[in-house]
Amino acid sequence: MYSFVSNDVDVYTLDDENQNHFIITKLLCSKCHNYWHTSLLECYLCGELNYYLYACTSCGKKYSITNSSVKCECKNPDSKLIKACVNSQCPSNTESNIIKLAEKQGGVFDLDSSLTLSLNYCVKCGNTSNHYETFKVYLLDNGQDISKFIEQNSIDDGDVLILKNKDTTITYDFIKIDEKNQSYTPDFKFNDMKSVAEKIFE
Amino acid sequence: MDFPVKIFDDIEGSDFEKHNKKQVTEDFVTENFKEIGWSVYRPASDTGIDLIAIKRMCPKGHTKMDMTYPNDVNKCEECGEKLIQVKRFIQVKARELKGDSNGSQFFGYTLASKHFRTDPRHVILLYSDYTTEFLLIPMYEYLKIFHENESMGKSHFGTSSFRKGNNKLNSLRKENGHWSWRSRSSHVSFDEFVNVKGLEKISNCNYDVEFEKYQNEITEMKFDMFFNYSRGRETNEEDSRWINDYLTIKVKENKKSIKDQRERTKKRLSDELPDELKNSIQKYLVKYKGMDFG
Repeated sequence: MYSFVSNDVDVYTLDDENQNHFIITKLLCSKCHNYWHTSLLECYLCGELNYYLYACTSCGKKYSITNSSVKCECKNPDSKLIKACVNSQCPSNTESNIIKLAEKQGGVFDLDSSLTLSLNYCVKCGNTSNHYETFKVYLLDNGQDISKFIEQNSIDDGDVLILKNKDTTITYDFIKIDEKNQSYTPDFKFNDMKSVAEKIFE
Repeated sequence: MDFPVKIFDDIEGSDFEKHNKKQVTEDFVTENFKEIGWSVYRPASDTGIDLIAIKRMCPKGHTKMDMTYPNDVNKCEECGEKLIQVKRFIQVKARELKGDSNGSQFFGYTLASKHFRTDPRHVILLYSDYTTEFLLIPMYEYLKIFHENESMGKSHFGTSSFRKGNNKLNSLRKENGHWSWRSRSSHVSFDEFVNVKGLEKISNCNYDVEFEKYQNEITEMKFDMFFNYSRGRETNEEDSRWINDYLTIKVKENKKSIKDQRERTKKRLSDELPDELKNSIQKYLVKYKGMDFG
């Protein structure tokens, strides 16, 4: 289970004593299926992403936000380092009143800024809609009779069986039930659960 | 049918304070859904969704609220349609009602922009633990109410505090046994989302069968309201008008070409920044898959 958690997949367990499966779920872009990060911020005005940089209000030079105590080398006494939007065309960098508004708040991406929103456009393709992709997951050891297991556990279309083979090394394979056919034979092509987790959500 | 029912005989909602109520609240909600045949899943790690509830239902709406199908039944006995797995992603907000219990009480809660997905199966469950009532609101209906009442939408989604993530909403009220959104300019009933009525709302299979249609509408409403700027005290009237005019054009443009803009920015930064800064950016972005800066 924790292999999924470590791969940024959310895991949910059944609130029941007789649980033999769990749920894995991920918020994905509905177009390209890339992960949808609700904690990632974008600029409210232009949609640019947060690059975690400071910029000098006087000369524009960029600094890492881990160096928060530095003063800009331009030495302008009026300059400040702010978490500005990195898009040079953003009104927070081009329109005097909006520049003032952003500067007053420590920059578009400052923690207290009112000029950000959680992701609205996919980081990979720019699409605007997302959805939860969800699978019920059952774990089986190699050698268990798959057809019998499906029959006995009222497995539905779309559920996932992960098979684990303990040999000199541990290998894995998985099957999505709607893809199952009679000739299925696991070939244990995955060396770790991370690869399994990635493949399931592809 | 009663829903919710008092599950725990020995305790009252009022026995708990903000700091120790999360677990008991989620247990209470979970047990109530289990009572009427839903399978309820709890998060193994801290995530945005508090519960996932799943139940097999007839896609034509023939499943009664307290009805459960045996495992070997796969079709609706009334219409013969294949049963579908209805999944609901539930975000629970438990709050006490404040104010005069004989007069007007309010339910204060906060929702930030990160709480709004475009999946129509996403449900907001507001639990008034002092009255043991649930308000169950599908995301589509939640947004629709605010979209249809522009001033409500603007004060919820257009404000600087919403974008900051600390917009405490205090307009949901209970007065004389009725729930409504009451502010200076609006008064909209929320009774249709209370208890069994709310359960019927979230059990609506159209959100599953016509998923894409509802998802598109949610996305449109969300954009309309998120980008309807409300100035509050942060700007003057003229700047506020300028921002809204700009957003009207920019949002349309972004829907078509935000990817190109972002790629241009990324390339420029990649060309201009020293390696040390690029490495720093990468350290922050590593947790966001698909956003590598290597």
